[in-house]
Amino acid sequence: MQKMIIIEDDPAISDLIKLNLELAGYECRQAYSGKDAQSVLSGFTPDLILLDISLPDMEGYELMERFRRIEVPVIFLTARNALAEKVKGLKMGADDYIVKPFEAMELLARIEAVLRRYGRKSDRIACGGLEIHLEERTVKRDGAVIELTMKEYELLLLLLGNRNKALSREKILELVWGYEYGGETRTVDIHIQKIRRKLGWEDLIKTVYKFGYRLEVLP
Amino acid sequence: MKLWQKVFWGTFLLFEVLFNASSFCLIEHNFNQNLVREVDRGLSDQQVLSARMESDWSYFNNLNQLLNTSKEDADDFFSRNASKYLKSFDPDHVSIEIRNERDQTVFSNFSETIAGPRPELDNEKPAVRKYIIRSVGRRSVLFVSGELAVSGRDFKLTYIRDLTGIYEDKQAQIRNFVKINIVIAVVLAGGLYGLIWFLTRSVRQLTRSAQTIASGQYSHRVNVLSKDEIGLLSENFNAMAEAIEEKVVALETADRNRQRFIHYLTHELKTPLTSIIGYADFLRTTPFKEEVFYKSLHYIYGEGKRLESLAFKLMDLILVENSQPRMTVGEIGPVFEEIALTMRPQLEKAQAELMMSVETAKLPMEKDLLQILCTNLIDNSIKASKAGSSIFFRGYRTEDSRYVIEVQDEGIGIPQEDIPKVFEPFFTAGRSRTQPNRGAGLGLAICAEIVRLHKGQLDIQSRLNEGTIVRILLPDDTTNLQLADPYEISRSYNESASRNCAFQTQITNPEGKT
Repeated sequence: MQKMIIIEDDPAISDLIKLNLELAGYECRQAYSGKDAQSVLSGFTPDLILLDISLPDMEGYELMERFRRIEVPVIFLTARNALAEKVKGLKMGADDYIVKPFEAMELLARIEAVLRRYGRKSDRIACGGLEIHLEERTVKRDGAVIELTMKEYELLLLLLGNRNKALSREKILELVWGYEYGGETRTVDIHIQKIRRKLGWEDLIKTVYKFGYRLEVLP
Repeated sequence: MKLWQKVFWGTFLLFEVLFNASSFCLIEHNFNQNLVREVDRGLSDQQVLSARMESDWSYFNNLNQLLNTSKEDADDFFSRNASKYLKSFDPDHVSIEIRNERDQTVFSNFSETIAGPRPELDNEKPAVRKYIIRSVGRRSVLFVSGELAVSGRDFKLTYIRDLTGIYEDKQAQIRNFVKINIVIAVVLAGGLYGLIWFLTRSVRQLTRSAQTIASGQYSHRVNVLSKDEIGLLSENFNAMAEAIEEKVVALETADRNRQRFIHYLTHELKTPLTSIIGYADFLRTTPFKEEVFYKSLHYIYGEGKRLESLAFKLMDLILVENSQPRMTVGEIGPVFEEIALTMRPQLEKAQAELMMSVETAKLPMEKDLLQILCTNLIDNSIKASKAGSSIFFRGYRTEDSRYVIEVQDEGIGIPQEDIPKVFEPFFTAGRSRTQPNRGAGLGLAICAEIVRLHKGQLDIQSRLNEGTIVRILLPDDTTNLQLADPYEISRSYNESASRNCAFQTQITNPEGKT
């Protein structure tokens, strides 16, 4: 299980991130100030740091200098949509940034991307009796390869990345087919039917009434 | 063409024209005088000669008659004796020619041949001497002809004088003049250039300064070099630069404040929004779990309240900044009572006690704003205080007859280094965000505006963990009401408005559009 530290002075936002990360299967620690973060980090090496730029006792940038030494990837959170600030953060060695207000799905996607870049995310996912090899782009059940089309495979990855969370049809359409795709949400339903049947996940992929779908697996 | 070039060429050309014209006039005049003198001399010489010749002939003729010698011909006489008359003249310049009535040359020692007609020899009025100046070869020669009456015969005596010298003198003068003129022109050009360069250096300096200022260095000033018109211009230029600099600095400050305001406002809006949207989204997309559900709702409620309070504070700020304060003289006592009444629920909730003491007085004030001011101050005190502590709310008159409103608490206090910053929008002492009863950080910013509108002073004294005293000194009594004319108030209002104009534009623009 990958470990994260959330350095954020606002308890509401800190808790919100924690809830979302834990749901996605990460272990989280929280720190509410720069000093707090340093004491937490003295006995804890996370795989990723989520850092708010404006902390009560110091600027997030100051902490970033220290993080560079321990070589842990950093994603910073900022409420300011100023380009200069993002550039400064990235130049200081942050791996990515996210602007408040953000959606949990976006945060998770960015976390995954950064972890993968650092090779901390294994290229094998096991879930619901399936084994997914990201490098090979194959899905196996008991060693037997299940053939999936491109979109079906991407849809599966999206569901896996947002385990236990409902995804609206619109969101799925946007994330799998892209913004430019003018298709109907019916497309999503058809693809969900197909992967349910192919993977044997009729019970795991739940339909959320008037909303979308949710992959329910025990953490 | 540049000014210095214009002045240079203008002066230079004008001088050259005048100098040349006057010089040529002078030379010409001089030459003409010489010529006239020479002609006069020629005329008189010719007259003298002809008189001498006539008298000599008549003497000689008489002598011949007396001696009864053979009568001699006048032609022979002149051809024989003419050269003797020339002895008294410069042989290089003067010659004579004598012709008889049949136009035969009796005598001539003029060596050159004379081409063309000889109008001076015309014989219409024999008694009148005629002269002509003509070019013979490369020389200019004066011919003076007159009658030489000898024994009833009409001879012509022509006096010939070489005037080339005068013409050569004129040419030499012109040559000299040209040389002098060249020297003068060079010296004049150099002198003029230097002089103009010297006189226009202030203008060039002014130009450079203007460019420097235009490039953004507003603190640049011109050196005033002289006390002439340009010096005056430089001084005025400096005054203008000063005014511009002040305005620019004021604008920059206003802009920085606006930037900071937007910056904080963005933060203050986005943080609760992130929570509210985030928890709502979490709740609608995850299966129900009681513990998470209530925690999330708690946060949504709390952050919603935070947004609400921010919105109210912003509205107060709009009220303060956009309302033209209408000062009325009123009794302060009832205002205090009313404030205490409004604050009661909050005081009870925080288990704090309000100790009020008020010295009655009639004061010029804007009642609504004064209420916002006091409630904000008391609200701050409540937030800083622990349960069971007291908050003092006093109104009294000082010895120099100023009225003081004072709010004192026994709370956590403000760190010394933060006191100057507490009036900045969105500043919360200690930046203790995690504290449950923190405000938006707009309260004191609003208070500062209100105090400014009342032309008062705000004074804060604080000790950590001992308490804070906020003192508002209102100006000296009703006499100030006359001073506080509408213009003054609106001006101070504008000054204060610039501090938070970002906020104004953001919030009030929709009204402007409709």
